[in-house]
Amino acid sequence: MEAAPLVLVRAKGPGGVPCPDATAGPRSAGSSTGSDHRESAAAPGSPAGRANRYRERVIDATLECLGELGLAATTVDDIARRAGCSRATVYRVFPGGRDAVLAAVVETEAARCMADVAVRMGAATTAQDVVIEGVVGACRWIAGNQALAKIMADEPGVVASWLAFEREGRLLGHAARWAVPFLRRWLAGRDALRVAEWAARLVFVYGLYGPATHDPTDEVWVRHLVGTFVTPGIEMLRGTGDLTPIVPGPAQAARASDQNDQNDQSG
Amino acid sequence: MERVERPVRERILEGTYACVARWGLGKTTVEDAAREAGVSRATLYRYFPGGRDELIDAVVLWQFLRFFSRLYEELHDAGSLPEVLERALVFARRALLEHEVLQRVLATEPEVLMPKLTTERERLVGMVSGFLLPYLAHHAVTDGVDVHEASDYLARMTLSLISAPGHWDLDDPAQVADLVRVHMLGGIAAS
Repeated sequence: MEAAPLVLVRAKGPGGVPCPDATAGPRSAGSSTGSDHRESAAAPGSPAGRANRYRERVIDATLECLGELGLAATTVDDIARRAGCSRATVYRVFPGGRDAVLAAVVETEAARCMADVAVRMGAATTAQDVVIEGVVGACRWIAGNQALAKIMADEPGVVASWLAFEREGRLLGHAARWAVPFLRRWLAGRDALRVAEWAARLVFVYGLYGPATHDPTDEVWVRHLVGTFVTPGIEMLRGTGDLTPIVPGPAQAARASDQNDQNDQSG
Repeated sequence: MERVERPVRERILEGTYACVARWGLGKTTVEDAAREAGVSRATLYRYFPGGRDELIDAVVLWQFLRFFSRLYEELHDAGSLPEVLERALVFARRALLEHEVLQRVLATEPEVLMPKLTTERERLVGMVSGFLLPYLAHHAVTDGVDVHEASDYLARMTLSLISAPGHWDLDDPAQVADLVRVHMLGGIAAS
Protein backbone atom coordinates (compact mmCIF):
# COMPACT_ATOMS: atom_id res chain seq x y z
CA MET A 1 0.00 0.00 0.00
CA GLU A 2 2.91 2.30 0.62
CA ALA A 3 3.33 2.69 -3.09
CA ALA A 4 -0.28 3.54 -3.76
CA PRO A 5 -0.06 7.16 -4.75
CA LEU A 6 3.06 6.47 -6.75
CA VAL A 7 1.00 5.44 -9.74
CA LEU A 8 -1.26 8.40 -9.37
CA VAL A 9 1.33 10.87 -10.33
CA ARG A 10 3.48 8.68 -12.48
CA ALA A 11 0.41 8.15 -14.57
CA LYS A 12 1.81 10.20 -17.40
CA GLY A 13 5.29 8.83 -17.14
CA PRO A 14 6.63 6.13 -19.39
CA GLY A 15 6.56 2.50 -18.39
CA GLY A 16 4.91 0.95 -15.42
CA VAL A 17 4.76 1.62 -11.77
CA PRO A 18 8.02 2.46 -10.12
CA CYS A 19 8.79 0.01 -7.38
CA PRO A 20 9.43 1.42 -3.92
CA ASP A 21 12.66 -0.49 -3.69
CA ALA A 22 11.34 -4.01 -3.74
CA THR A 23 14.56 -5.38 -2.36
CA ALA A 24 14.50 -3.14 0.69
CA GLY A 25 13.89 -5.11 3.82
CA PRO A 26 13.37 -4.09 7.40
CA ARG A 27 16.87 -2.73 7.67
CA SER A 28 16.75 -0.22 4.85
CA ALA A 29 13.06 0.52 5.02
CA GLY A 30 13.38 3.30 7.53
CA SER A 31 15.99 5.21 5.61
CA SER A 32 15.21 7.80 3.01
CA THR A 33 15.75 7.53 -0.72
CA GLY A 34 19.15 7.49 -2.33
CA SER A 35 18.90 10.98 -3.72
CA ASP A 36 17.96 12.34 -0.30
CA HIS A 37 21.08 10.73 1.05
CA ARG A 38 23.23 12.44 -1.49
CA GLU A 39 21.67 15.80 -0.94
CA SER A 40 21.57 15.71 2.80
CA ALA A 41 25.27 14.89 2.77
CA ALA A 42 25.94 18.27 1.17
CA ALA A 43 26.97 21.18 3.35
CA PRO A 44 24.03 23.43 4.28
CA GLY A 45 25.51 26.50 2.57
CA SER A 46 26.48 24.76 -0.66
CA PRO A 47 24.31 24.91 -3.78
CA ALA A 48 23.31 21.27 -3.24
CA GLY A 49 22.34 22.07 0.33
CA ARG A 50 20.13 24.93 -0.82
CA ALA A 51 18.54 22.71 -3.46
CA ASN A 52 17.85 20.12 -0.77
CA ARG A 53 16.23 22.73 1.47
CA TYR A 54 14.02 23.88 -1.40
CA ARG A 55 13.29 20.30 -2.32
CA GLU A 56 11.73 19.64 1.08
CA ARG A 57 9.85 22.94 1.04
CA VAL A 58 8.46 22.27 -2.43
CA ILE A 59 7.45 18.73 -1.49
CA ASP A 60 5.68 19.85 1.68
CA ALA A 61 4.00 22.72 -0.17
CA THR A 62 2.79 20.32 -2.85
CA LEU A 63 1.31 18.02 -0.25
CA GLU A 64 -0.60 20.94 1.25
CA CYS A 65 -1.84 22.02 -2.18
CA LEU A 66 -2.99 18.50 -3.01
CA GLY A 67 -4.82 18.28 0.30
CA GLU A 68 -6.66 21.52 -0.37
CA LEU A 69 -7.03 21.70 -4.14
CA GLY A 70 -6.81 18.11 -5.30
CA LEU A 71 -4.60 16.73 -8.04
CA ALA A 72 -5.94 18.31 -11.22
CA ALA A 73 -6.12 21.83 -9.80
CA THR A 74 -2.63 21.92 -8.29
CA THR A 75 -0.29 23.91 -10.54
CA VAL A 76 3.38 24.76 -10.31
CA ASP A 77 2.32 28.34 -9.52
CA ASP A 78 0.29 27.14 -6.53
CA ILE A 79 3.22 25.08 -5.35
CA ALA A 80 5.72 27.91 -5.75
CA ARG A 81 3.44 30.38 -3.94
CA ARG A 82 2.89 27.95 -1.09
CA ALA A 83 6.59 27.16 -0.85
CA GLY A 84 7.46 30.86 -0.86
CA CYS A 85 9.75 30.59 -3.84
CA SER A 86 9.64 31.41 -7.54
CA ARG A 87 8.49 29.15 -10.34
CA ALA A 88 12.07 29.21 -11.57
CA THR A 89 13.27 27.74 -8.28
CA VAL A 90 10.76 24.92 -8.51
CA TYR A 91 11.99 24.14 -12.02
CA ARG A 92 15.63 24.40 -10.94
CA VAL A 93 15.11 21.85 -8.15
CA PHE A 94 12.76 19.74 -10.26
CA PRO A 95 13.71 20.18 -13.93
CA GLY A 96 10.86 17.83 -14.89
CA GLY A 97 8.32 20.35 -13.57
CA ARG A 98 4.93 19.36 -12.14
CA ASP A 99 5.22 15.66 -12.93
CA ALA A 100 8.66 15.48 -11.32
CA VAL A 101 7.42 17.30 -8.21
CA LEU A 102 4.46 14.95 -7.91
CA ALA A 103 6.69 11.91 -8.37
CA ALA A 104 8.98 13.20 -5.62
CA VAL A 105 5.99 13.76 -3.35
CA VAL A 106 4.85 10.20 -3.87
CA GLU A 107 8.34 8.83 -3.28
CA THR A 108 8.68 10.83 -0.09
CA GLU A 109 5.25 9.83 1.15
CA ALA A 110 5.85 6.19 0.24
CA ALA A 111 9.10 6.27 2.20
CA ARG A 112 7.32 7.83 5.19
CA CYS A 113 4.60 5.21 5.07
CA MET A 114 7.09 2.36 4.73
CA ALA A 115 9.13 3.73 7.61
CA ASP A 116 6.03 3.88 9.85
CA VAL A 117 4.90 0.42 8.87
CA ALA A 118 8.39 -1.07 9.06
CA VAL A 119 8.83 0.09 12.65
CA ARG A 120 5.53 -1.53 13.61
CA MET A 121 6.13 -4.78 11.73
CA GLY A 122 9.74 -5.03 12.86
CA ALA A 123 8.65 -4.98 16.50
CA ALA A 124 6.12 -7.81 16.03
CA THR A 125 6.87 -11.10 17.74
CA THR A 126 4.52 -13.40 15.82
CA ALA A 127 3.63 -13.76 12.16
CA GLN A 128 0.07 -12.78 13.06
CA ASP A 129 1.30 -9.56 14.64
CA VAL A 130 3.38 -8.74 11.56
CA VAL A 131 0.17 -8.87 9.52
CA ILE A 132 -1.85 -6.90 12.10
CA GLU A 133 0.80 -4.21 12.52
CA GLY A 134 1.28 -3.94 8.77
CA VAL A 135 -2.44 -3.56 8.11
CA VAL A 136 -3.06 -1.11 10.95
CA GLY A 137 0.05 0.92 10.13
CA ALA A 138 -0.74 1.20 6.43
CA CYS A 139 -4.43 1.92 7.02
CA ARG A 140 -3.59 4.64 9.54
CA TRP A 141 -1.20 6.18 7.07
CA ILE A 142 -3.90 6.13 4.38
CA ALA A 143 -6.50 7.58 6.76
CA GLY A 144 -4.15 10.33 7.87
CA ASN A 145 -3.01 11.37 4.41
CA GLN A 146 -4.98 14.49 3.57
CA ALA A 147 -3.74 14.71 0.01
CA LEU A 148 -4.84 11.16 -0.72
CA ALA A 149 -8.17 11.70 1.05
CA LYS A 150 -8.86 14.84 -0.96
CA ILE A 151 -8.07 13.16 -4.26
CA MET A 152 -10.09 10.05 -3.39
CA ALA A 153 -13.08 12.15 -2.40
CA ASP A 154 -13.09 14.62 -5.30
CA GLU A 155 -11.32 12.72 -8.06
CA PRO A 156 -12.21 9.08 -7.38
CA GLY A 157 -11.67 8.16 -11.01
CA VAL A 158 -8.02 9.18 -10.81
CA VAL A 159 -7.30 6.97 -7.83
CA ALA A 160 -9.48 4.11 -8.99
CA SER A 161 -8.13 4.00 -12.51
CA TRP A 162 -4.60 3.76 -11.17
CA LEU A 163 -5.32 1.46 -8.25
CA ALA A 164 -7.38 -1.24 -9.85
CA PHE A 165 -7.03 -4.31 -12.02
CA GLU A 166 -3.52 -4.83 -13.43
CA ARG A 167 -2.12 -1.84 -11.57
CA GLU A 168 -3.62 -3.00 -8.31
CA GLY A 169 -2.00 -6.37 -8.98
CA ARG A 170 1.41 -4.82 -9.54
CA LEU A 171 1.14 -2.69 -6.42
CA LEU A 172 0.12 -5.71 -4.40
CA GLY A 173 3.20 -7.43 -5.77
CA HIS A 174 5.51 -4.58 -4.80
CA ALA A 175 4.02 -4.29 -1.34
CA ALA A 176 4.18 -8.05 -0.81
CA ARG A 177 7.82 -8.36 -1.89
CA TRP A 178 8.71 -5.43 0.35
CA ALA A 179 6.96 -7.02 3.34
CA VAL A 180 8.31 -10.55 2.86
CA PRO A 181 11.48 -10.08 4.97
CA PHE A 182 9.31 -9.26 7.98
CA LEU A 183 7.64 -12.66 7.73
CA ARG A 184 10.68 -14.77 6.88
CA ARG A 185 11.28 -15.68 10.50
CA TRP A 186 8.04 -17.63 10.52
CA LEU A 187 7.36 -18.58 6.92
CA ALA A 188 9.38 -20.00 4.05
CA GLY A 189 9.79 -18.09 0.79
CA ARG A 190 6.64 -18.77 -1.21
CA ASP A 191 4.40 -18.90 1.84
CA ALA A 192 5.86 -15.65 3.18
CA LEU A 193 5.12 -13.98 -0.16
CA ARG A 194 1.55 -15.28 -0.17
CA VAL A 195 0.84 -14.12 3.38
CA ALA A 196 2.50 -10.76 2.70
CA GLU A 197 0.35 -10.30 -0.36
CA TRP A 198 -2.75 -11.28 1.58
CA ALA A 199 -1.91 -8.61 4.15
CA ALA A 200 -1.42 -6.03 1.38
CA ARG A 201 -4.78 -7.09 -0.05
CA LEU A 202 -6.41 -6.45 3.33
CA VAL A 203 -5.04 -2.91 3.20
CA PHE A 204 -6.55 -2.36 -0.24
CA VAL A 205 -9.84 -4.01 0.63
CA TYR A 206 -10.39 -2.37 4.01
CA GLY A 207 -8.05 0.63 4.09
CA LEU A 208 -8.59 2.06 0.65
CA TYR A 209 -12.00 0.84 -0.46
CA GLY A 210 -13.32 -0.20 2.92
CA PRO A 211 -16.92 0.09 4.07
CA ALA A 212 -17.90 2.73 6.58
CA THR A 213 -18.93 -0.02 8.99
CA HIS A 214 -15.37 -1.18 9.69
CA ASP A 215 -12.50 0.89 11.01
CA PRO A 216 -9.24 -0.56 9.69
CA THR A 217 -7.24 1.86 11.83
CA ASP A 218 -8.72 0.29 14.97
CA GLU A 219 -6.20 -2.27 16.13
CA VAL A 220 -8.81 -4.22 18.12
CA TRP A 221 -10.96 -4.71 15.04
CA VAL A 222 -8.01 -5.61 12.81
CA ARG A 223 -6.81 -8.09 15.42
CA HIS A 224 -10.23 -9.70 15.38
CA LEU A 225 -10.29 -9.79 11.57
CA VAL A 226 -6.80 -11.21 11.19
CA GLY A 227 -7.17 -13.57 14.12
CA THR A 228 -10.41 -14.97 12.73
CA PHE A 229 -9.65 -15.19 9.05
CA VAL A 230 -5.90 -14.99 8.45
CA THR A 231 -4.08 -16.58 11.38
CA PRO A 232 -5.60 -20.05 10.86
CA GLY A 233 -4.18 -20.02 7.33
CA ILE A 234 -0.74 -19.04 8.65
CA GLU A 235 -0.97 -21.91 11.12
CA MET A 236 -1.83 -24.28 8.28
CA LEU A 237 1.23 -23.11 6.35
CA ARG A 238 3.39 -23.55 9.41
CA GLY A 239 1.87 -26.97 9.77
CA THR A 240 2.27 -26.93 13.51
CA GLY A 241 -0.25 -24.50 14.87
CA ASP A 242 2.45 -22.78 16.89
CA LEU A 243 3.75 -19.48 15.66
CA THR A 244 7.26 -19.55 17.08
CA PRO A 245 9.90 -18.38 14.62
CA ILE A 246 11.71 -20.81 12.30
CA VAL A 247 14.66 -18.46 12.06
CA PRO A 248 15.49 -17.25 15.55
CA GLY A 249 15.50 -13.52 16.16
CA PRO A 250 18.03 -12.17 18.68
CA ALA A 251 15.85 -12.96 21.71
CA GLN A 252 14.99 -16.42 20.49
CA ALA A 253 18.60 -17.11 19.56
CA ALA A 254 19.67 -16.23 23.11
CA ARG A 255 16.98 -18.49 24.55
CA ALA A 256 17.95 -21.31 22.18
CA SER A 257 21.60 -21.05 23.18
CA ASP A 258 20.56 -21.12 26.86
CA GLN A 259 18.67 -24.30 26.12
CA ASN A 260 21.65 -25.74 24.30
CA ASP A 261 23.82 -24.95 27.31
CA GLN A 262 21.36 -26.73 29.55
CA ASN A 263 21.26 -29.66 27.14
CA ASP A 264 25.04 -29.78 27.17
CA GLN A 265 25.07 -29.79 30.95
CA SER A 266 22.41 -32.44 31.24
CA GLY A 267 24.02 -34.49 28.43
CA MET B 1 -48.27 -3.46 -16.14
CA GLU B 2 -45.00 -4.95 -14.96
CA ARG B 3 -45.05 -7.53 -17.74
CA VAL B 4 -45.51 -4.89 -20.36
CA GLU B 5 -42.92 -2.51 -18.97
CA ARG B 6 -40.08 -4.89 -18.37
CA PRO B 7 -39.25 -5.72 -22.00
CA VAL B 8 -39.04 -2.02 -22.87
CA ARG B 9 -36.59 -1.38 -20.05
CA GLU B 10 -34.61 -4.42 -21.11
CA ARG B 11 -34.63 -3.25 -24.72
CA ILE B 12 -33.33 0.15 -23.71
CA LEU B 13 -30.56 -1.41 -21.67
CA GLU B 14 -29.61 -3.73 -24.53
CA GLY B 15 -29.62 -0.83 -26.96
CA THR B 16 -27.47 1.28 -24.67
CA TYR B 17 -25.05 -1.59 -24.18
CA ALA B 18 -24.77 -2.02 -27.95
CA CYS B 19 -23.94 1.69 -28.25
CA VAL B 20 -21.32 1.45 -25.52
CA ALA B 21 -19.81 -1.56 -27.25
CA ARG B 22 -19.59 0.39 -30.50
CA TRP B 23 -18.66 3.89 -29.38
CA GLY B 24 -17.58 3.66 -25.77
CA LEU B 25 -19.12 5.07 -22.60
CA GLY B 26 -18.25 8.71 -23.13
CA LYS B 27 -19.68 9.01 -26.62
CA THR B 28 -22.95 7.17 -26.05
CA THR B 29 -25.85 9.62 -26.02
CA VAL B 30 -29.47 9.22 -24.98
CA GLU B 31 -30.46 9.71 -28.65
CA ASP B 32 -28.17 6.87 -29.78
CA ALA B 33 -29.52 4.55 -27.10
CA ALA B 34 -33.13 5.37 -27.90
CA ARG B 35 -32.59 4.85 -31.63
CA GLU B 36 -30.78 1.57 -31.05
CA ALA B 37 -33.57 0.36 -28.76
CA GLY B 38 -36.27 1.51 -31.18
CA VAL B 39 -37.99 3.78 -28.65
CA SER B 40 -38.54 7.51 -28.55
CA ARG B 41 -36.45 9.86 -26.46
CA ALA B 42 -39.54 10.58 -24.37
CA THR B 43 -40.03 6.88 -23.65
CA LEU B 44 -36.41 6.50 -22.63
CA TYR B 45 -36.70 9.42 -20.21
CA ARG B 46 -39.86 7.89 -18.79
CA TYR B 47 -37.85 4.82 -17.79
CA PHE B 48 -34.68 6.69 -16.92
CA PRO B 49 -35.69 10.15 -15.72
CA GLY B 50 -32.08 10.86 -14.73
CA GLY B 51 -31.10 10.66 -18.40
CA ARG B 52 -27.69 9.59 -19.55
CA ASP B 53 -26.05 9.17 -16.13
CA GLU B 54 -28.87 7.02 -14.82
CA LEU B 55 -28.88 5.02 -18.03
CA ILE B 56 -25.14 4.29 -17.89
CA ASP B 57 -25.36 3.34 -14.20
CA ALA B 58 -28.27 1.03 -15.03
CA VAL B 59 -26.30 -0.64 -17.81
CA VAL B 60 -23.34 -1.29 -15.49
CA LEU B 61 -25.67 -2.78 -12.87
CA TRP B 62 -27.51 -4.79 -15.52
CA GLN B 63 -24.21 -6.30 -16.68
CA PHE B 64 -23.38 -7.24 -13.07
CA LEU B 65 -26.74 -8.96 -12.69
CA ARG B 66 -26.29 -10.86 -15.95
CA PHE B 67 -22.88 -11.95 -14.74
CA PHE B 68 -24.36 -13.25 -11.49
CA SER B 69 -27.05 -15.22 -13.25
CA ARG B 70 -24.33 -16.88 -15.35
CA LEU B 71 -22.36 -17.53 -12.17
CA TYR B 72 -25.36 -19.20 -10.53
CA GLU B 73 -25.76 -21.39 -13.60
CA GLU B 74 -22.09 -22.27 -13.59
CA LEU B 75 -22.03 -23.20 -9.89
CA HIS B 76 -25.40 -24.85 -9.43
CA ASP B 77 -23.85 -28.32 -9.10
CA ALA B 78 -20.87 -27.37 -6.92
CA GLY B 79 -20.82 -29.73 -3.96
CA SER B 80 -18.68 -28.04 -1.33
CA LEU B 81 -17.76 -24.56 -0.16
CA PRO B 82 -14.15 -24.85 -1.40
CA GLU B 83 -15.42 -26.02 -4.76
CA VAL B 84 -17.82 -23.07 -4.97
CA LEU B 85 -15.02 -20.59 -4.32
CA GLU B 86 -12.51 -22.29 -6.60
CA ARG B 87 -14.91 -22.44 -9.51
CA ALA B 88 -16.27 -18.94 -8.84
CA LEU B 89 -12.76 -17.43 -8.86
CA VAL B 90 -11.75 -19.14 -12.08
CA PHE B 91 -15.07 -18.44 -13.81
CA ALA B 92 -15.22 -14.79 -12.74
CA ARG B 93 -11.61 -14.06 -13.66
CA ARG B 94 -12.13 -15.54 -17.13
CA ALA B 95 -15.42 -13.72 -17.56
CA LEU B 96 -13.70 -10.45 -16.69
CA LEU B 97 -10.80 -11.02 -19.06
CA GLU B 98 -13.07 -12.20 -21.86
CA HIS B 99 -15.57 -9.38 -21.47
CA GLU B 100 -14.55 -7.47 -24.57
CA VAL B 101 -16.62 -4.37 -23.92
CA LEU B 102 -15.43 -4.08 -20.33
CA GLN B 103 -11.81 -4.54 -21.35
CA ARG B 104 -12.07 -1.97 -24.11
CA VAL B 105 -13.72 0.59 -21.84
CA LEU B 106 -11.12 -0.09 -19.14
CA ALA B 107 -8.35 0.43 -21.66
CA THR B 108 -9.72 3.51 -23.38
CA GLU B 109 -11.97 5.26 -20.84
CA PRO B 110 -10.89 4.19 -17.34
CA GLU B 111 -11.64 7.67 -16.03
CA VAL B 112 -15.30 7.25 -17.04
CA LEU B 113 -15.86 3.71 -15.83
CA MET B 114 -13.76 3.62 -12.66
CA PRO B 115 -15.77 6.13 -10.62
CA LYS B 116 -18.88 4.08 -11.40
CA LEU B 117 -17.23 0.86 -10.31
CA THR B 118 -16.06 2.62 -7.16
CA THR B 119 -19.52 3.85 -6.24
CA GLU B 120 -20.95 0.42 -7.10
CA ARG B 121 -18.33 -1.38 -5.04
CA GLU B 122 -20.38 -1.75 -1.87
CA ARG B 123 -23.38 -2.94 -3.84
CA LEU B 124 -21.17 -5.46 -5.59
CA VAL B 125 -19.75 -6.67 -2.28
CA GLY B 126 -23.33 -7.13 -1.09
CA MET B 127 -24.20 -9.18 -4.16
CA VAL B 128 -21.19 -11.49 -3.83
CA SER B 129 -21.73 -11.78 -0.11
CA GLY B 130 -25.39 -12.63 -0.64
CA PHE B 131 -24.34 -15.19 -3.21
CA LEU B 132 -21.93 -16.89 -0.79
CA LEU B 133 -24.09 -16.75 2.32
CA PRO B 134 -26.30 -19.77 1.55
CA TYR B 135 -23.24 -21.88 0.83
CA LEU B 136 -21.74 -20.85 4.18
CA ALA B 137 -25.00 -21.58 5.93
CA HIS B 138 -25.16 -25.05 4.39
CA HIS B 139 -21.57 -26.06 4.99
CA ALA B 140 -19.99 -26.54 8.36
CA VAL B 141 -18.10 -23.46 9.47
CA THR B 142 -15.55 -23.22 12.25
CA ASP B 143 -17.08 -22.72 15.69
CA GLY B 144 -17.53 -19.09 16.62
CA VAL B 145 -17.37 -17.78 13.04
CA ASP B 146 -20.22 -15.43 12.17
CA VAL B 147 -21.46 -16.45 8.71
CA HIS B 148 -22.44 -12.89 7.78
CA GLU B 149 -19.04 -11.56 8.72
CA ALA B 150 -17.39 -14.46 6.91
CA SER B 151 -19.40 -13.96 3.71
CA ASP B 152 -18.60 -10.24 3.73
CA TYR B 153 -14.90 -10.98 4.16
CA LEU B 154 -14.94 -13.64 1.45
CA ALA B 155 -16.83 -11.32 -0.90
CA ARG B 156 -14.28 -8.53 -0.51
CA MET B 157 -11.31 -10.83 -0.94
CA THR B 158 -12.93 -12.59 -3.90
CA LEU B 159 -13.54 -9.30 -5.69
CA SER B 160 -9.98 -8.23 -4.99
CA LEU B 161 -8.61 -11.52 -6.35
CA ILE B 162 -10.76 -11.36 -9.46
CA SER B 163 -9.73 -7.83 -10.36
CA ALA B 164 -6.09 -8.25 -9.29
CA PRO B 165 -4.86 -11.84 -8.80
CA GLY B 166 -1.37 -10.56 -7.92
CA HIS B 167 1.00 -13.50 -7.52
CA TRP B 168 -1.79 -16.05 -7.84
CA ASP B 169 -2.16 -17.84 -11.15
CA LEU B 170 -5.89 -18.51 -11.30
CA ASP B 171 -5.35 -20.80 -14.30
CA ASP B 172 -3.42 -23.22 -12.12
CA PRO B 173 -5.89 -25.49 -10.27
CA ALA B 174 -3.32 -26.43 -7.61
CA GLN B 175 -2.72 -22.77 -6.75
CA VAL B 176 -6.42 -22.00 -6.69
CA ALA B 177 -6.97 -24.94 -4.33
CA ASP B 178 -4.23 -23.64 -1.99
CA LEU B 179 -5.57 -20.13 -2.17
CA VAL B 180 -9.08 -21.22 -1.21
CA ARG B 181 -8.18 -23.82 1.39
CA VAL B 182 -5.49 -21.87 3.25
CA HIS B 183 -6.03 -18.17 2.69
CA MET B 184 -9.74 -17.80 2.08
CA LEU B 185 -11.23 -20.59 4.16
CA GLY B 186 -8.43 -21.28 6.66
CA GLY B 187 -10.39 -19.65 9.45
CA ILE B 188 -13.86 -20.37 8.10
CA ALA B 189 -14.17 -24.02 7.09
CA ALA B 190 -12.29 -26.89 8.63
CA SER B 191 -10.97 -28.93 5.72
